Amino acid sequence: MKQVPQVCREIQEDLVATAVQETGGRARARVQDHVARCAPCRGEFDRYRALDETVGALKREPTPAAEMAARAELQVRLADLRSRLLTYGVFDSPLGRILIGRTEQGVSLVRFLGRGGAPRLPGLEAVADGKEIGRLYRELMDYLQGRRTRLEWPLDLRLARSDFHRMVLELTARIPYGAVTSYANVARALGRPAAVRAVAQALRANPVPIVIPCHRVVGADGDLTGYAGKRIGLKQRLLAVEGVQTVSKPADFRVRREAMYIRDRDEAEYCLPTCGALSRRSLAGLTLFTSRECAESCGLRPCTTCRPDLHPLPR
Amino acid sequence: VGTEDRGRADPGPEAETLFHEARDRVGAAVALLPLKQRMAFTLRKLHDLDYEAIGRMLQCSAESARAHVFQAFRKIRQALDHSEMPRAEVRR
Repeated sequence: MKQVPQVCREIQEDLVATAVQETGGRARARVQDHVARCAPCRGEFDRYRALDETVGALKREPTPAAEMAARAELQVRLADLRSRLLTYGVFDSPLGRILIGRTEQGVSLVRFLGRGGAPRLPGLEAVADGKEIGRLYRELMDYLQGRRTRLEWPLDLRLARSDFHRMVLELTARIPYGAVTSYANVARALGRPAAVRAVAQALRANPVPIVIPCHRVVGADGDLTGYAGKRIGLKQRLLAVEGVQTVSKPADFRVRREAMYIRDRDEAEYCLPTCGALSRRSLAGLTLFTSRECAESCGLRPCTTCRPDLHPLPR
Repeated sequence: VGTEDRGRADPGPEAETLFHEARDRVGAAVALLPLKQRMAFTLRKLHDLDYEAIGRMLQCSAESARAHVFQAFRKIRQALDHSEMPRAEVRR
């Protein structure tokens, strides 16, 4: 292979950029100075310049190939526009006025209305279309009235504020119906045990509450601690729909963990709440289940020590 | 791009034909580029979009958009290597 001088190799990029008029100023002056002295680079420059001029001709009189490219461009533009469009509807629900929004990619917004201003939708254009969203609303009503235990909606999590938030949301989405865990346990499962507050923040900013069940995540002491601003009652009602019992406290509720089965960290078994030292442990590493079916739907087996299969909790 | 003063006012039929051939070869080479390079190239050179806008449309950074355009230029240049570009068109 012919050896290209170092100086020619170094100037190559600027040479192309200058020839196709994508640069100016000093780079350009340097290139012009170089090609005046270097015949091979001058040849190269001329070829790129000729190419650029021919491209200019393509621009003025489109050939079939250029039209094809233009059509491809238009399609990308349209796809981009569609993905930026948020269709939404506002409905009455047992939990108050609720807004549901979706993009072409999936459901991206569920919002309890009443307090606070309109949701901010960075980069999205909102279009009201109650009819399109009606099916989602009916499924949500079925869910809130206990006739459905899953909302299998495609989700668009672009409104999540960061990749970390998105990770927290994706993990929370896997907490099954009828189960409860703590912010600390979500942080632990993410491999970031110290990030408890960051997990709580991420769930506070959950763009799709109910669908991603952040109501199933509570404080390590079993207190519900927060939901949709200060609407802790909503969280309690959503948990009640799933059969999670709570006791009322001043300005909060606490999960009745003594009425639930327990999984310790990533154990393959579930226990009675009285098994071993579990009742004295905080919820930091625990997941609670309303029923044996719920625990077993996660692939867990009954503990061979406390035998929840032989001594089930009273319903 | 100022093109009216390129000395092509009366190019003669032969030069005109050469030029059209070159244009069609470039068009064909563009059509063969990988999607992102083709998009970046056409958006930049045929539609005059800036790299920021191209990056947004291709979901990449402005720097990557620029790199796609340059890659496209190199590929088209290689594709044309076997065929002579009309030198008569060149003016510096």
